[in-house]
Amino acid sequence: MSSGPRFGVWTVTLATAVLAASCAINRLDRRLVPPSEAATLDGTSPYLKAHLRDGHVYVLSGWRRDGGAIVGRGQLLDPNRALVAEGEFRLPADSVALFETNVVRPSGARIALTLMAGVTAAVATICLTNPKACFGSCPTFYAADSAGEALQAEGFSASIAPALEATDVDMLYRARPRGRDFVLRLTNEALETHVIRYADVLVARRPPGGRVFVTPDGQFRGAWGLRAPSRCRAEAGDCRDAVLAFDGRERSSPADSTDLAARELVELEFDSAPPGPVGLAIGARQSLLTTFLMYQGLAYLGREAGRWLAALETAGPAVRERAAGLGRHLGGIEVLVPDAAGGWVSVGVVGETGPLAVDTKIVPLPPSVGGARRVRLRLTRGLWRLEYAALAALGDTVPVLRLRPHRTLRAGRADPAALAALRDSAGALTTLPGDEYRLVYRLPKDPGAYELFLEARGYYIEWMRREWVAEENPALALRMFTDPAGTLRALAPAYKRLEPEMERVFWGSRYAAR
Amino acid sequence: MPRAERWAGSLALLGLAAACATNSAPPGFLPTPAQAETSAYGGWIELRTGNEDGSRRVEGELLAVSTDSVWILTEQGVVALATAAVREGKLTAYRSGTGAVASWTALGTLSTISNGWFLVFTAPAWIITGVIAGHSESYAAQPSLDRFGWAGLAVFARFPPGLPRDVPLQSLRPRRP
Repeated sequence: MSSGPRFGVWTVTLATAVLAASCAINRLDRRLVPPSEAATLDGTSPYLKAHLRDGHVYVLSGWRRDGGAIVGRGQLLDPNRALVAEGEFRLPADSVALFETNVVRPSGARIALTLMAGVTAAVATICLTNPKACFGSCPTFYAADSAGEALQAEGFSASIAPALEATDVDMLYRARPRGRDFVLRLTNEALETHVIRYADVLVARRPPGGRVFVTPDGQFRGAWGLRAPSRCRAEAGDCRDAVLAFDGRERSSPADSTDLAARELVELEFDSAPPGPVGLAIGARQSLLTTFLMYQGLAYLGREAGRWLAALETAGPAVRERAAGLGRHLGGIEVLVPDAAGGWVSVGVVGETGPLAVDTKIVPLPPSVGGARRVRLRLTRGLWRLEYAALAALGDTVPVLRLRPHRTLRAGRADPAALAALRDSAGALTTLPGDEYRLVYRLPKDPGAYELFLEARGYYIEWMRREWVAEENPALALRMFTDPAGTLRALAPAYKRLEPEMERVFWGSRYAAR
Repeated sequence: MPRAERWAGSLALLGLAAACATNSAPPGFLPTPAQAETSAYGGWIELRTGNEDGSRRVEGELLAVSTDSVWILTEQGVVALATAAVREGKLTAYRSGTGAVASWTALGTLSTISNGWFLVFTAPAWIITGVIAGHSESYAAQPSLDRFGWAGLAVFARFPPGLPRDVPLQSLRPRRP
């Protein structure tokens, strides 16, 4: 099984390439030349036809000019193209009415198809040599922003089996409703089956001039007076520009080459802090490290992956806890503040699984004396992409209104079955690769005054890729569960080999723009 | 084979079929470009003459063209038409590589199963490229009367210099494929 499908794929690709080289898709370039211009005859034409006024024609091969005559070997045909004579001929040019040359050239179509075959083979090579970078998502949600439509959230990225079904709340930070009907475009862009119990929009009224954020423990808190860090430093240097605004510029770092769980520090300094309770808002998404690890795990499980994931259903909490060991070792973005003893104390952790959409949370900070604040972030090298960091005055919890979709569209038409599945707490909407729905929510009056969040619950199942089965290794699969720290060290070299290309290949493999 | 790839392959063939130029030449009549290098016959021409009172369709091998007349060798014999009376016409000079383009496109589209989700890009690219290539290829073998004029079409006549004076028209025989 390990070589069969791969061989089949290569056979098809190779056959295409062979066709590209051998298939005779040509064009004919035919020219007529009067005898007075015999000197201009195209010498690349392998045959020369000499048309006589009486309808006869000589068809000569190996022809050449010899003074005022044409010499060649061939046939003389009558007006009905019956053979009259055959052999070596010498024709005075002025005895001929018209000469005809024909040159067969490769057509533009052949060149275009050859190029396409080359592109297909190159992509196949990329996907075969780097299958863990190709494809992969989880339910993705798009919504209108100030510039058009943007990927705003990804649902329950860590829920790769029914047993790991989870609820996920994402702030739709950039969403800009264009009226009371707010549309989320839900897509399945990967070789996965998505089971979505619900996808509700939560709305919370913003404080004047402020925003509403979710804390790591799920509280919705009003925040205002947001201010960017005065300084941002990490081992690789200054990072302030990258985290100043929610603008697509992200601060990231390469993974450690010996231990994928190795940590790094990012130091944030704020010259002034708002009075009263404050919090640190952090917008971040993961790199493709977790994607790599998840696919590597499935590859090690190989043909047994389905059985193992199904076993999680009946396994006890201890086993499920162990299954999450890799994620725990990688950790989130830990927020630390100075303590009274001159050290640092952790005050919260943020960070959601998934490389697609930036997730924004706020971590309440303990009160401090003085206006300036120092905050340290401790995070796994190469795992996080920091989009945004800001200090804000933190208010109380705010009431949240839950909205279920009131319309669901598929291919522009109402889909009452999908709507019922999302509204019925006992049902679920199941989507397959390529599926796309538009979920329409009715916002309260004055929609611009509300912060929007997506709360989705469900799970998804990865489709096994042929390329993965080649790496089936039960012992290494078991090690991922029993020794996650050792696994993260062992896989570091493999990941480092793929890391430079993973981002480009991954995003290139999707058909939806970020 | 996944259903999506089958559909994509079928779509590619359908697109090509819809986009390609057609002709009414009998099977085997038209030479390939390589055969046309030595073939001494004319191309296949389809002409429609007439006006609102009625029209006439003539098709056969292009024998010769002059400034005011065109001679066609049909199954019923030689037909001479005044070029001024021709309302529309189409000449197919040789057998285009459209079939090869179609096969190649279908195979190429199917081969994108090796591209994972990249096939979302590569499969349509194959179909689009194939349809354009097939369209271009088929029309390359059909020099346009509007573009080349009657004198240009003479390049693909059996008698490019003009109809021989001393050859009885009734003695000319159609090419047997």
